[in-house]
Amino acid sequence: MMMISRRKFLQMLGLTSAAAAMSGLDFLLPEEAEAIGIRLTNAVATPTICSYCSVGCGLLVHTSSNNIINIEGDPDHPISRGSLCSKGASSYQITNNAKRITTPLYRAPGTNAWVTKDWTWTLTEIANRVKSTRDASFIDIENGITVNRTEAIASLGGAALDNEEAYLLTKFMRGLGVVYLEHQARL
Amino acid sequence: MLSLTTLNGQKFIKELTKVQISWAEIIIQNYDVDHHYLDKLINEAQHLLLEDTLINISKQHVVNITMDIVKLLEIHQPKFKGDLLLLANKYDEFYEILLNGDDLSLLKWADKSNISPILIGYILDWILRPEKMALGKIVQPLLNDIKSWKSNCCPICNEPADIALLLKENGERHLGCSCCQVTWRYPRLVCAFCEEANPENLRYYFVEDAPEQQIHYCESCGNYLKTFDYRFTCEKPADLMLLNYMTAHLDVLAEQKGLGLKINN
Repeated sequence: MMMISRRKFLQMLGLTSAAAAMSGLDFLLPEEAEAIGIRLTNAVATPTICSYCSVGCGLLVHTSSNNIINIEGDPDHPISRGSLCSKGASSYQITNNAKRITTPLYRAPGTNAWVTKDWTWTLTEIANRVKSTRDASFIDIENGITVNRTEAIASLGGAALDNEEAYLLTKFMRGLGVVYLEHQARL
Repeated sequence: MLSLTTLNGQKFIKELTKVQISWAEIIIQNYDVDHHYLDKLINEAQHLLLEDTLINISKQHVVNITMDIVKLLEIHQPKFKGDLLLLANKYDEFYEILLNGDDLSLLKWADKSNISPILIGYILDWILRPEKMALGKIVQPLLNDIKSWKSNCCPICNEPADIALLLKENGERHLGCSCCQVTWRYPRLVCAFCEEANPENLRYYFVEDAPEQQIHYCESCGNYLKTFDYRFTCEKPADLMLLNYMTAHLDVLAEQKGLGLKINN
């Protein structure tokens, strides 16, 4: 038997699917103009990696007009196959969350109130405290051996750091003499 | 479900599918399934209908299926009454071309006989469908693994997918052939027509009042694929042909957006 299909047949007639649906059988309501009234939103899905732990689950971030409208697990990702933990599944709230803190908050020792600070003040304060703590705790020689270290500062990296950030952080901490270098990527 | 398809149109497709399923069952009963052979064909990425020895349908079978379809058309599609009367006088010629002719000769014959070529196209599709559905039912269990069938074309009829489903469980995309009634796993971010894999060129529209209804399109080739996201609805996956016709408004909208001018290849 011949293996011709309606689609090929329509092509031969020079018709599109929609034209065939409208001019063919009684399938669409007479007032096809209604279709124009249906509102469509345009979006795009972009694949990326979850920003939390080191498992590196795949995400699809859906955006419309540069706004994130949904984040879901990527079903084709070889590691996670669409699954996400509760944190990954709420990735949407990283950008869209009214409760997200967007400025540095400072609580001075002995107080219970948080005060909003700007980044210049915050980074300067952190730098000053790192410097004073490191200088006060620095051990250059121990038991006749040069150690050049501080045990008063620790660094905790995160799985969200990329290779370059992790390299810089390690270099920086080694430069300060920090020996307690840890990360949570093996959680 | 949001649809501009008439209730009569929906009823017609439901009854037509019922008839086709019953014919598919008869074909399966008379078919000695060689699962090993089918498995081999699928693994070798061979489209099953190209193996014309798989199922052979007799002329009587074709005649019976045609009569069932014409009966339903007479009841539900009175618009084609005149065409069906003309066809009734030329059944022998129709079967002769159907069984031994080709697509161009069928088109010429319809034109010469003053019978709507669109109607002939539909009838042709529906006559062939039970055979495709029978094969589809047999091979569907082999298609669920992403490694088993990687093509963007239907494993039965070799046509590009005409619908896609996003599954409730984890959003996997399964391409579907509404005619053969089979689905097979396919990556979400690969164009189902030109295999474009740059996600920046793969966009979609969704209906604001029914976000499960989507039009996925490729900016590289300009084709689109109607996609139904079952995570937005508690409905069970419908008969693909019914779903295809019930979402005909998406075809209209896609065309208005300048998509699909290559009519699915």
